[in-house]
Amino acid sequence: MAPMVRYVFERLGYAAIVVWGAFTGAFFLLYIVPGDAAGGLTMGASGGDVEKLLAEQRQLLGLDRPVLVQYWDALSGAVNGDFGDSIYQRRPAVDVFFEAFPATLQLAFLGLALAVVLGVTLSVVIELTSWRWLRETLVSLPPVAVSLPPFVVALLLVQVVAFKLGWIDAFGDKTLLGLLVASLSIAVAGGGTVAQLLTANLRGALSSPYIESARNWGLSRFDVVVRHALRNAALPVITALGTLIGVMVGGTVLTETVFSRVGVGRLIVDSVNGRDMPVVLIAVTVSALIFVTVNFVVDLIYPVVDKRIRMEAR
Amino acid sequence: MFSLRQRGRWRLLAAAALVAVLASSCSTGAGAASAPTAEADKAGGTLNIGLSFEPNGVDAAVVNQVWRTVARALTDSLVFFNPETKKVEPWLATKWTVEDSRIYTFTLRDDVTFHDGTKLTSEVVKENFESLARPGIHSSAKTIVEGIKEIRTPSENVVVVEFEEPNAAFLVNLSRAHAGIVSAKTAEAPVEERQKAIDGSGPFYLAEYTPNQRIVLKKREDYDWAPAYFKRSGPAYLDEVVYKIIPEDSVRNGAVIGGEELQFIYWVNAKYVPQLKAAGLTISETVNPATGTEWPVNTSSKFLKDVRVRQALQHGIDREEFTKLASGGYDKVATGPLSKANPFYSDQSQYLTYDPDLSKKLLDEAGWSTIGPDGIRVNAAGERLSLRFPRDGAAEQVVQEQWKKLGIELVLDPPLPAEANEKLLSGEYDLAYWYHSTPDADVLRANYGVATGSNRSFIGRNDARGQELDKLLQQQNTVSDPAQRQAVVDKASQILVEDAYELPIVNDTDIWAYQPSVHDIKAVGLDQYLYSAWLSDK
Repeated sequence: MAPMVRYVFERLGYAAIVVWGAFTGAFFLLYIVPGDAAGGLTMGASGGDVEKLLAEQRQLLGLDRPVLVQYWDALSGAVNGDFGDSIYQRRPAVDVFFEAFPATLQLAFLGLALAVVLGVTLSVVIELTSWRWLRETLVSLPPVAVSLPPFVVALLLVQVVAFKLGWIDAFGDKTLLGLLVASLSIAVAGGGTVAQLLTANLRGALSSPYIESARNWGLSRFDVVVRHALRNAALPVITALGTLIGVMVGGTVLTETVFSRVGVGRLIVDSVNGRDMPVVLIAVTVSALIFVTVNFVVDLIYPVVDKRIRMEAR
Repeated sequence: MFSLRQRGRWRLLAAAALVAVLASSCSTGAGAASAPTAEADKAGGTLNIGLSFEPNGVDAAVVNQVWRTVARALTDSLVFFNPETKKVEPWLATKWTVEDSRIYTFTLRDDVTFHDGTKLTSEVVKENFESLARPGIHSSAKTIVEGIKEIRTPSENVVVVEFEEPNAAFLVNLSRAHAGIVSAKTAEAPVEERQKAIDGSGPFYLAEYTPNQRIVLKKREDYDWAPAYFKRSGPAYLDEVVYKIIPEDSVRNGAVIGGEELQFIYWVNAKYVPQLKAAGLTISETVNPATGTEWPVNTSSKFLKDVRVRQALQHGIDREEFTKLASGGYDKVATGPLSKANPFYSDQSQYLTYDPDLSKKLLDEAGWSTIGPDGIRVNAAGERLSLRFPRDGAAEQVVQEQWKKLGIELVLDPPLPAEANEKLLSGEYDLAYWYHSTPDADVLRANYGVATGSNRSFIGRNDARGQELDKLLQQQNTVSDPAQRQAVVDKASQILVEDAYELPIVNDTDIWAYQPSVHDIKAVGLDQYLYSAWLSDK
C-alpha cells in the first residue's frame, strides 16, 4: 500500500508542476510575442487617433502595468478559479471556455473512440485474413491515414455527406450523425496511428513462444489473435492514447472550422490571434489538467493490464 | 486558406472602420434586372446570409469589426449618402443647415421610434454623440465626434452640433453605420452590454445573437422612415434575416450553391467566381468608393527619402497585370489616390504609368546604378536596395516580382493581426498598406495628414513638398464650397502620387454571389442594405 500511495502523491506533485508550467509558459509566451489585445480591439480604427485609442485601451485593460504584476494577478486569480473577463466578449473567460468545452470534448472523445475501433479492427483483420492481396492492401492503409491532414478528410466528408448526400447540414450540425461525421475526420489519422502500432506489436506477439503454445492447444486463429496476442500488444497503444488525446484536441481546431462547430479549438486560435489572455490561460490550464489526468490514469492502468508491472518493482 | 481569410478580415476591418457608400455605376445591387413583381408578392420569407467570422458584437458604434450589413439593418443614421447622386440626403433628419463647416443644425423627423418603443428626440441624438466619446469605445465612431465643442437641443426636434474647428467631412461621416442612432437606453449602456444587444430604429431588430453561430434579425412592422432613395416606405419585405457564421470558404460556397442553407454571400474571393457562376449563381460587384488598396510610402525611411526612388517604385508597378493576377481582373486599376466612385475623384493616371525604363533611369540617377550579384541594386555605400513590406499574399508577390526586374528587393514580412496597427504606425516598414471605404476626400487627410491624420507616409518637418501636401489636406476639410474643395483635393491628389507619398494599386471590388431568387439588395458603398431586398422563391 505504502509504495502505491507514495507513487500516487509523487505523480500528483509532478502533475501540479506541469499545470503551473503550462500556465506560466502560456502567459509569458503570449506576453513576449508582439502585439496585445488593445491592438486587436482597435484593429481597423481609422484617423489620427489610433495611438490615443491604443493607449486608452491599454490602460483600461491594465496592460500598461508591469508584467510581473499582471502575471501575479492572473496566477492568483486562476488559483481561485477566476480567470477574468474575455477581452472581446466581455464576460468571464471561464464561461466562454466552458460553453465551448463540452462540444470539443464530445468531438475529441468520439474521435478517439472511433480511432481505437478503426485501428484495432483494421489490425485484427490484417492478422486474420488469409488472402494475401487483401492483407497487402490493408497494411498499406495506416501510413496513408496517418499522413492525411484532418482538414482534407473533413472537406471531403462535407462534400460527400453534406452537399452530395444531404444527410447532415454543412455547418453547425448538432445531430448525432453530424457529430459522428465530424469526429470521423479526426479519427482517421488517429486510427492510422493505432493500427500502425498494433500491427507491429501483434506481429511480434504472434511469433512469441506463448502464442505457439496457444496454437498447440488447438485454439482458433481468431481466439489466438484476439484473446491472447491482442492483450499483450495493446500496452504501447494505451501509452499512445495519452498523446493521441493531444492529437485529437489539435485536430478539433480544423474540424471545428470546416464543420462550423462551436468549440475550444476555434476558440483558442481566435484568442491567441487576438491576444485574449484570459481565454488563452483558461484553455491552456484546462488542457494541461486533462493531459496530466490522462497520463496519471494511464500510469495507474499499467499494473492492471500487465501484471508484470508491480509497484515493488520501482 | 489563411491568406484568403486575411484578405476577407482586412476588408471587413477597414470596411467596418470606415463605412459607407458608393458608385452610381455599381449601385445596382442584387437582381436589378428582375421583372416587375407586385408589392404584395414581394413580402415575406427568410434570407440566409453566410459570414466568414464572428465579429464579437452587433453594434458598429462600439466594435470595429461588426458586419455592416447587420449594423445597417438595425440602425438608421441622421443622413443618407445617395450612391447615385453622390449627395447626402435626409434620413432621420429631414433637413439641416451648416455654418462654416463648423456648426451643424439638424431638424429631426417626429415620427421615428426605436424598437423599444421610445421616440427619437434631439436629446437622444445628443446622448448618442456623447456616448461615442466615452472611454472604452474603440471603434472609428470615436473619430466622427472628435472635436465637438458643444451639442445643444433648442427643441425636441432640433439638435445643434458645434465643432471647435471646421469639419467638412462630418455629414458624410454621419451616414456611416458607426453613427447609426440607437435608443437612449442603448446609448447609456456600458460597452460590454451594447456590443451584444442594440436597440435601433432600423427596418429590422435583433432577435437572436449567438456568438460564433447565428445572428437573427426580424422585420419591424411599424418601420416607415426609409430614405427617399428606396422610393418606397413601410416595413421591409423580408420577414427574417439569418446570418450564419461559416469560417471555411469552400463550405460557404457549397452552401450558397445548394441554395437551401444560404442564399447570399459577399466578400467572395475572385478565384471562386467561375465555380459560383457555373453553378447558376448571380454575381455582382461594387467598387470601393473611397480609395481602394493603397500602399503608403515611408518617406522617412532610409532609401525612400529620395523622391526619385519613390517615383521609380510608382512607375515600376504594372497595375494591369496586378489586377489580372491578383484578383482575376475583378479589381479596377487605380487611376489616382481616390477611387473612381469617390465624389472627389480626379484622374491622376499620368503619374501612375507603367514605365520600367523610366524607373531604371530614376534609380540610376539616385545612385543605385550598380547591380549586385543577386540582381539587386547596390549604392556607393554597398547597401542593397531592399524594402520591407508588412503583408505576404499572392497580390504582394505580384509587385515583388515586378520590382525584382528593376533590381529592387521587396521583403514580405507580415506582422500578426494583433500587432498590425502598432507596427504600421511605428514606421519600421518601408511601405505599408491601407484601405478605406468612406466616400469622401477626407480619407486622404486621415491617412496622410501630419498634424491631424495618422501620417502614414511619415512626412517629416523638413520635407517641403510634404508640408505643402499636409496644408492642402487640412484645408480641404474646412472649405464649404464644393468646387473650391474639389480644387484643393485635386492638388493634394496630384502631389500624393506625383511625389509618390503613396502607391495606389487598385480600386478593389466587393463581389457578391447569390441565388437568382434574391432581389434588390442595395449596395451603398461597401454596405449592404436589406430594406428593399425580397425573395421570389420563399
